[in-house]
Amino acid sequence: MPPSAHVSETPATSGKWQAWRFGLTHLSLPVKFYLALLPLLIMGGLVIYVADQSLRSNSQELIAARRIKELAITSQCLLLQQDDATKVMLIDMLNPDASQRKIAAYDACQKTFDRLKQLTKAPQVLGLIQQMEEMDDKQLQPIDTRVLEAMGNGNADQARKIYFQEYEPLRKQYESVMRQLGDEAEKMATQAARTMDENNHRSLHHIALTLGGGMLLVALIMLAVVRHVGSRLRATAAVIEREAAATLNSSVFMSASGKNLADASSAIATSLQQTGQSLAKMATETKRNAEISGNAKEFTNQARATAEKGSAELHVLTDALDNIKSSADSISKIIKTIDEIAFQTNILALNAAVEAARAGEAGLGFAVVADEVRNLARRCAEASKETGERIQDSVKKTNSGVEIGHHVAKNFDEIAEKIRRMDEFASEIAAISHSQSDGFVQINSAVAQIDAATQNNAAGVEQSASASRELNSQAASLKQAVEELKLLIEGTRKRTGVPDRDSVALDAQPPGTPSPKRATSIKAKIAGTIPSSSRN
Amino acid sequence: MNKSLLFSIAAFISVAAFAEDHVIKQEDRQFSAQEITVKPGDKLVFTNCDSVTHNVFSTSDANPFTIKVQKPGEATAVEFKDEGVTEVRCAIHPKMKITVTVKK
Repeated sequence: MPPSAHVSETPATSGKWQAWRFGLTHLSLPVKFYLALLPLLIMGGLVIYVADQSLRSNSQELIAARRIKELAITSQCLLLQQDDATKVMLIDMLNPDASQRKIAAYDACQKTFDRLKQLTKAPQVLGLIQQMEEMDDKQLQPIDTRVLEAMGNGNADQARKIYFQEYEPLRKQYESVMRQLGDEAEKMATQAARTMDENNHRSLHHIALTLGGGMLLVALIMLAVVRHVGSRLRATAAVIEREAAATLNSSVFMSASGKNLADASSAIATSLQQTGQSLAKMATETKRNAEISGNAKEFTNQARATAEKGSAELHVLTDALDNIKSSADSISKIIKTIDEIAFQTNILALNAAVEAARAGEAGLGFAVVADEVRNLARRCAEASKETGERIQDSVKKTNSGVEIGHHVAKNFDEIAEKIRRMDEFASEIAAISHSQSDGFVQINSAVAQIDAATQNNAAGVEQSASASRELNSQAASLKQAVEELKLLIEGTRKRTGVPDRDSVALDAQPPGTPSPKRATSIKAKIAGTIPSSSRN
Repeated sequence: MNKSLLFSIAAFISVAAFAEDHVIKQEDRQFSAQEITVKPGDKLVFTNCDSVTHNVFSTSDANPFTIKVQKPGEATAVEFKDEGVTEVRCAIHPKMKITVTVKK
């Protein structure tokens, strides 16, 4: 075998071993125990089978030896019966009972020979049996026949002579052989008993060795199984304990969170109730606001109509002022014409005065008329000038009025426009108020639903708190069960201060304290805010 | 009276006419047959052809009989009436054996 075979396993062998080990690992515990008992059962069965075969053989030999001895004795008895019948027939040849007994003993003796030959294969014993059979068949029976034939021929003396001189010595010799056969049978029995005793001792030794070896093997297998199962149980118990502690901590945390949540829910419910009342009040006010907005819209409409009417009238006024201005302009032109006429008249008066002066006396009257005309022209000019000025002033004022009228009309238009905008705003406000009113109704309904949901949440939180308390109790029970399981696995080892590997690992983390990461995860799950690092 | 006598004679004649005799010889200290089947009422005629005496008898409950001493040359008829198996032996020669089966 190559050295590597002792050092390492080939990959195929390792794979097979792993597959086999995997298969064993996944077997159930009862099956493992049964498998552990299997070698003992097989070995015990083999030993019992071998011992049974040996004992059966020995007992058969012993029984055969005893039977041979019995049959040898029986054969001797049968020979004596035949001899007895022959003796009777020597006295009374016609004795029917003797004939019957003789034939019956003869037949039984022949059967005995056959049974003797079937009982053993030992050469020495078989030789004795054959010797007896030959003596009976070839010596005793012929002599016995000669005796009886002599008797039947009426020669009793010859018959007795043959009997005593030939038959009796041969019968004694035959009995000697039978005794040898009995002795051989006794030797066989003794030997068989001795062999059986030796075999019994050997079988006991084998059984003891096998049972010892088997029990040792079973103990080793059981030890391995128990170590394996114990290891897995310890690991499982550690996991259960850790999870139970985490569950307990989580349940405590959930209980506290539930209480906080219940308080928060109660506060939310109160706030919602107040919010509902406020919303109802606001809805009423909004509704009132909508009504007022409607009224404002109506009034705004009226104001807009009035403003539009005022604006129209102002336009009429400005038109009138324009007409006045036009009239004033016309009058001004007329007055200018009158002024020009007065100027021409004045010039004409001057010319007339000049002419009158030239005319002398004759022209005095004319001069006076010319003067008067000149005065009239001057007065006319003054009047037209004054009228023109006034008309100019009036025109100026009319222009100013027209401008003011336009300005006022423009203002009125702006007012009307703004009132229209206000009307639109009022309409929008009214629409918004209606919409707000509807929204408040919906909000009220939503708040009522939220209130109901909050009440349900509060009830759920109470149930959750109850479940958390129950979970606390269950976690405590689970912890107790884990302690009992550890006690079952480890016995009193921990109490004696000999911690094992797993318990050291467990003790490194205080019972009931989840890992920081797990605690964060639990809290985050409860708070609904799982950190991104945990999510990753 | 005459009628009864005639009837008895007729019956005897009829039985004698139906019954059969079977001869069994005894030679060299053996029966001439090892077994034989006969009808009820048949007879076996044991004939001693040996030079020695025989003592033939029945070892069975059916058809018990014993011839006792039968000298050489003697013949003895034995009727087998009962149905069944009868073993016949010789008290002087135990090896001699014949099985007689009686059936209809």
